[in-house]
Amino acid sequence: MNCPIGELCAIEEGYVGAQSPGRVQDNERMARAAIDPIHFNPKSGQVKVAFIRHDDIAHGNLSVWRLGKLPAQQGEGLLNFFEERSNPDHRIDSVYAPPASALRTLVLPESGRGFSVIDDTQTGPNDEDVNPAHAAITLCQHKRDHGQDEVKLTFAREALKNLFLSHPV
Amino acid sequence: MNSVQELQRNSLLNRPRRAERSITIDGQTATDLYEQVLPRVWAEPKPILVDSKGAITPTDSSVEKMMTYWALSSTPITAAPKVTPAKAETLDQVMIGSRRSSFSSDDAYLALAGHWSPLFDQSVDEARATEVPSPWEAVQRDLISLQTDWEGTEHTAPSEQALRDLDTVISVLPMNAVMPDVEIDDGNGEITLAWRNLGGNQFISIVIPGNQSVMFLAQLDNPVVERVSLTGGGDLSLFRHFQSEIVARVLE
Repeated sequence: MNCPIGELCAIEEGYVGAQSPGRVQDNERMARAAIDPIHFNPKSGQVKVAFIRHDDIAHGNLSVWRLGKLPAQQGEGLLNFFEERSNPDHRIDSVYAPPASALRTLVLPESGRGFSVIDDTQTGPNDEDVNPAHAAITLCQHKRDHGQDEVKLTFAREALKNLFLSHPV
Repeated sequence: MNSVQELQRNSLLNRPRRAERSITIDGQTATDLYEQVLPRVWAEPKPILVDSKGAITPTDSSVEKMMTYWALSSTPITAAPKVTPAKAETLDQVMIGSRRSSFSSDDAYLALAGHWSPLFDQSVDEARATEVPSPWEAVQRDLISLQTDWEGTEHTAPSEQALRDLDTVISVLPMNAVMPDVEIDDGNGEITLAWRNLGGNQFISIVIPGNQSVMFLAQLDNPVVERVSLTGGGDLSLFRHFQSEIVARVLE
């Protein structure tokens, strides 16, 4: 059965992140940074495919941050937040942040709603790698249950990327 | 003429073509060519021969006329419809719309202009002066150069097959379509053509893995996903997608 649009998916309902400030609300913006050179090609000026990888969708969670819970929501302060968490050789090119409601209403072919947004506060493999502002985008439960077709997963990747790029901060 | 050929013909007749009013080939106007000659070209496979210097020899007068017209009207050869089957018999046999590795549409244009200059109503120089280079040619050059630029690095450049598949995709795109973002997955060399900023959540993406098939992905009125084989005439399915009213509308 497809997850309902406008209601919490089973994953969202059952998940509680450590030190979580609460479930992600529909009006919250979910931020993801395009890192040069991993996610951004300075020659073409384009955000690369690596910004949202196939594997992030198929096998795991796409890491995002709850914009309203970061120390700064725009400008240098926001870039500094992401730069502090990236490789010193890298540069933050841009930040994109669509609302959780848009992510939750994204419809995939023949299977209805595609994604859940959860308060996944884990930022690394260790127990202490926790940040209350961290969250994740993940496939809805019904999508996980029924396995994945490569073409539909690629559609999901493109749809997510399109949604992020249309919401620059 | 079968329905697919009719579809192609109607599509081409509706396309804007530069300078078509001033071009006649052997006394035939552009409309004559598209209505009388092109159907003959489509009726059966038409190979073209290219020698080691890039000079082109058509094997059929109808092909010759159409290629002359495309050259004069600055239609990128890679954007012209295919007139030969997907498999060339010999290395020096090429297809319109599916170039071999060392054969660029720019080369083709110059070769055509030189080879058939006596047929031209306008001079070769005039024809060259009015030529508008296809933005795809720069894209293709960049992609080919990645094979050298990324050699010995951890990045994977698009394969030869991916570049050939890209040619096929270009050949079915509407000529007036805006250029997409061209993205390379440097992990596996996959090419993605993406039209974004279409309003709302709309997008169209073509993913080219380099295995003689592509994924057509679109979020327009409804989500569309299709894996399209580029062999055995399967590319006509892609052609039909791009001829659909809604796709044509958002790409203009």
